[in-house]
Amino acid sequence: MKCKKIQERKKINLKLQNKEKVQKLKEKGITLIALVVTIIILLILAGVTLNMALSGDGLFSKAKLAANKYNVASEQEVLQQQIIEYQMDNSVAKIGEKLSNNSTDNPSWTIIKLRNENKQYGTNYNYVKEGTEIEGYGTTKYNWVINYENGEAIQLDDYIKVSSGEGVSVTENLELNINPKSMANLDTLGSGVTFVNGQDSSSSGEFLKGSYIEFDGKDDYLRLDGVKVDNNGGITFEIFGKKNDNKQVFSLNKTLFEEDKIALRGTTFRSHFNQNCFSCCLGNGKARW
Amino acid sequence: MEKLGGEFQSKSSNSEHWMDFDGENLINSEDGSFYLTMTLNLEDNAVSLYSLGSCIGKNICNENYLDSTLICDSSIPFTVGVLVSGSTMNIQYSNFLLYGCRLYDRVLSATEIKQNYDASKNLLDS
Repeated sequence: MKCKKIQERKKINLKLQNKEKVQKLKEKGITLIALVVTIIILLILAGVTLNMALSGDGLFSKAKLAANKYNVASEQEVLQQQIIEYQMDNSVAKIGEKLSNNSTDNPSWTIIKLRNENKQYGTNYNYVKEGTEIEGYGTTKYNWVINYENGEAIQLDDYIKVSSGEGVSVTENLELNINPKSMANLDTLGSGVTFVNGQDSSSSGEFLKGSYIEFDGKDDYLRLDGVKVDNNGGITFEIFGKKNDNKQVFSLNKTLFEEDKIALRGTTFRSHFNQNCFSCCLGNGKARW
Repeated sequence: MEKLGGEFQSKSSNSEHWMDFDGENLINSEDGSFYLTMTLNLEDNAVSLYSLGSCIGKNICNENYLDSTLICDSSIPFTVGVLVSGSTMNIQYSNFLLYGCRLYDRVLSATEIKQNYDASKNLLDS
């Protein structure tokens, strides 16, 4: 009898122990599957959040855009105030560089020409470039043309400035004008124009030398982005200079880039100008020479 | 069409179009200067070359050819001073002094090209 009771107790204890074990196992932690699923969900959520915040039209970009718009509007207001002050009192000094239309009876002219638009600003406009000091405001952060007669203050984005001293006679549909003489440095090449690898040119380290820009024949080239060939039925390209050695003088290519390196394929419009030979080719990567 | 002496050749086929001008006067022998203008006319598929303000050659391309190339793709940049050529895609860089460079998004007439040359030629004297 006693033995039976002891055995029963042992069975009960064992059951209890097993039950405890099972309970402990259940309580120890989450399952691996649940953990993996949780991590995946967290990663997805993180990705969505980062994308919302950092993408092109994300929160940060929108905030930057809004800040920029605010700054432009503030500066425009300052310029319009300058215009009003002048209109009330003509003795107030005008700011900016006076522009004037190019015409046959005007030997000395300067215009602002918008790129990719057949629009220009000349007579009655002043060019206020970035960094112009305005009393009570500071220096301008953007480029403008302003009109003291009609009160316009127009922010300039994609434009070129052309003057009579640069040898340009035809300005209509001019999209690019590189005139080393009127350039302060290579940062003033204009929007969409880059002088690549120019920093290491020439033994003197200078590649902008007053009247010309020096191409070293090693890795320098000009890159012109955003040129629309079919805008008005075609293009005209002019280039003039002096040769530096007896190798090829220059070439104009339409070149594909991959990660900012020249791609070894797909070039199309090419021209090649040498000592006594000029070649111009439209091809699919094969060259005449 | 005026030629500045020398032989002009051109070829146009389904796969390539080229022009060669071999001769004098492309580069000034005294000071090594040159003045070159090229026009690409999509209306008659013509590529024209001018030296010193005068036309030295013109080639009419296959009418469907310009549509099949990437010439009108504005996302592909033009480059000046680098040439990718040959079946091995050899890259060559130019060694020269740039006195001026202009691009118009239309085809200038021969008169306008001469006007620009007359207005600019003195810039090469400095």
